[in-house]
Amino acid sequence: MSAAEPVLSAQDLWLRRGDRELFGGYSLALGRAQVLWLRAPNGRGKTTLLRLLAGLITPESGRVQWRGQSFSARLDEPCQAISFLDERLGLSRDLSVADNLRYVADMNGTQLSAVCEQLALDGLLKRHVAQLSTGQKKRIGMARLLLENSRVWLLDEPANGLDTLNRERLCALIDAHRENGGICVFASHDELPLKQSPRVETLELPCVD
Amino acid sequence: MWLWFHRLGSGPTFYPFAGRLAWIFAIPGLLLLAHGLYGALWLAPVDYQQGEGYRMIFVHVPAAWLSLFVYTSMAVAAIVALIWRMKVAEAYIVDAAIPGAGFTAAALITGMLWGKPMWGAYWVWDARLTSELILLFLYFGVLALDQAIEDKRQAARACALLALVGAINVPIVHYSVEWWNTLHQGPTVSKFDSPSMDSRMLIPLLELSLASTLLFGTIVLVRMRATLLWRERHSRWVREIVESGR
Amino acid sequence: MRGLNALLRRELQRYWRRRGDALQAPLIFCLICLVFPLGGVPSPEHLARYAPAVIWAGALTACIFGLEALYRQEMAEGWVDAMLLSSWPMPLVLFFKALVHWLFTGLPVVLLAWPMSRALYFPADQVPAILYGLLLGTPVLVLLGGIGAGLTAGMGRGGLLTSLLMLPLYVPVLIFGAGCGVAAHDGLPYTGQLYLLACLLVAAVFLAPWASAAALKIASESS
Repeated sequence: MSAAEPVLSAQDLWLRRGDRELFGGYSLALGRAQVLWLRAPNGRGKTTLLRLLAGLITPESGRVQWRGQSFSARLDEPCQAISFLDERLGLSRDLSVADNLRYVADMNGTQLSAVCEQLALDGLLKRHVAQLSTGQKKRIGMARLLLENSRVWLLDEPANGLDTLNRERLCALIDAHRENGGICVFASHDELPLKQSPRVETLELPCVD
Repeated sequence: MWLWFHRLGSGPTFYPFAGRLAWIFAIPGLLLLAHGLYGALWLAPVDYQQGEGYRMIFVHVPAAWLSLFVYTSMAVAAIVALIWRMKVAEAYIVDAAIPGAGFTAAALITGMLWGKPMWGAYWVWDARLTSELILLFLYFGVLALDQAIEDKRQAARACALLALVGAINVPIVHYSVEWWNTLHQGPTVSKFDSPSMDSRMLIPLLELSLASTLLFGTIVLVRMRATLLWRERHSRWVREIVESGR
Repeated sequence: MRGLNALLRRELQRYWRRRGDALQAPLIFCLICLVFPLGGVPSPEHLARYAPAVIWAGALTACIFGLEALYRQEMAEGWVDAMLLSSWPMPLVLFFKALVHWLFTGLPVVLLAWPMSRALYFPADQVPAILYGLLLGTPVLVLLGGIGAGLTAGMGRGGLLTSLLMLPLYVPVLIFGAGCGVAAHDGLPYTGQLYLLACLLVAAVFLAPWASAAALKIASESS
């Protein structure tokens, strides 16, 4: 299942946060159709690593590469290369679900109707995001992910606060994404019931100085 | 040459270099300061128009010159910091801001003290003073932003952006204030704008300007050494220095 | 094209949903303009003389109002991250954001400036000088303010900090903008000021969104 050429790779990442060295020469390579589970207790740098891979944080030294070339090569892809989803969800709480998702769909040139069917969102479309429960909000977050139609999914604690049904939905989405050749990295302290066991990466930090 | 410059951007190379450079700046700086002050206070003759009061320019001109020079250097450092992410450049921006603000304040205060005998008022809305005041706000902005952001590297980069944006603004502000001033009959042009200036006044003026520039260099280099030591206190090179006792 | 429509639509919807908050900006503008006569000598010559300055002080406050919150909510909701990752260029996105912000803060000021100037006894045939100045100047204020808002985006309460940061940048706009009104009042031509304001506007349109995008990028580096 591992591809010949890594799509997203990190080499020798070095990063300090305040007093702690979060990454000292960390490397990672992700190929086509791979799912990676970042397992570590809280505060070990899972979020930071995801943000590094997304390009939202720049490491002090080392680099992230796209298909073996510089990271900016990802902008040459026809559609968005990387999506990042955390508990903030990227949704405006002032607007309705429909408005939020229509926005994402139009910005990315995708269709809303198929995603609505897939995630059974029809009942929620008219509701305001601020009025939704956590599980419902996370479902809308997943919808946003699908509408962005990107190769790489970086998910920070996606299953937090989800009931069994929504967990299954989430796993179904990740499995489908993998079958389409996409990459998914999710950070979680407990396991997700995926069809195929993901690669596991346990983050171990050196001792605090 | 380029490689040396690039290596200088990191702590371990810069620290000893700055130490030596600080001495190279300090000694001539202090000597020039002493000689310049002597020339300014004793040798330069009394001005026939303003009496002894004109000697304020010996403080005002170097302070004003430095306030602009420091801000420009911060803008240059900002470009380096933002493009190449050089830690030393980032440290420079924040460390130069306080001396820069100090010089600006000194220029303003001496301008006001000089203005009283000259124009009869402490404050006039002439182009120079107003521009200096705005420059002071620019410095305060950089300092305030640095204080407000916790992560120091992020703070330095934010200050770099602010310094750069402000630097583009400085000529615009200066021009606009000057333009606005000419429309509203500003006060008469200050004495040291006149083309002829006795060399006994000019030489101490130049000496003092140069001296204060060198001394600023010393101050900022010493501050940068301290900043770099603190920022990289966990790295090996700092530990080696501490262990070897300087 | 669909994407730009979507962007505009989203911004308009957001402001419209919180139109109560959005109304505060024009309200503050009116407040400043109307309080001024109360605090001084309400004679026509005095008021008309200072009308441009008062109007511009009000316009400045109105445009700055709500500016520091411009990006704070967006950062807290994760929209900034999503936009940084999207294939849309961030400066373009931020330009449209500033445009909509101006529609809700600057444009009402321009529209209200007419009655406000008349309330300050500014001669009717010279009011266009003030209006044109505001029309060109208020977008610059909003665009420049976006830079300050970007720099303080991650913080809890930027408060006055954003205003302090941007104040030096506003000075040229203020000088030229109010200068239009003052020149007109003195019977002098003011096309020079308008041209200069137009230059500032063009420069701001092309440069400010880049700076705001850079500021937001820096602000999102702390996770």
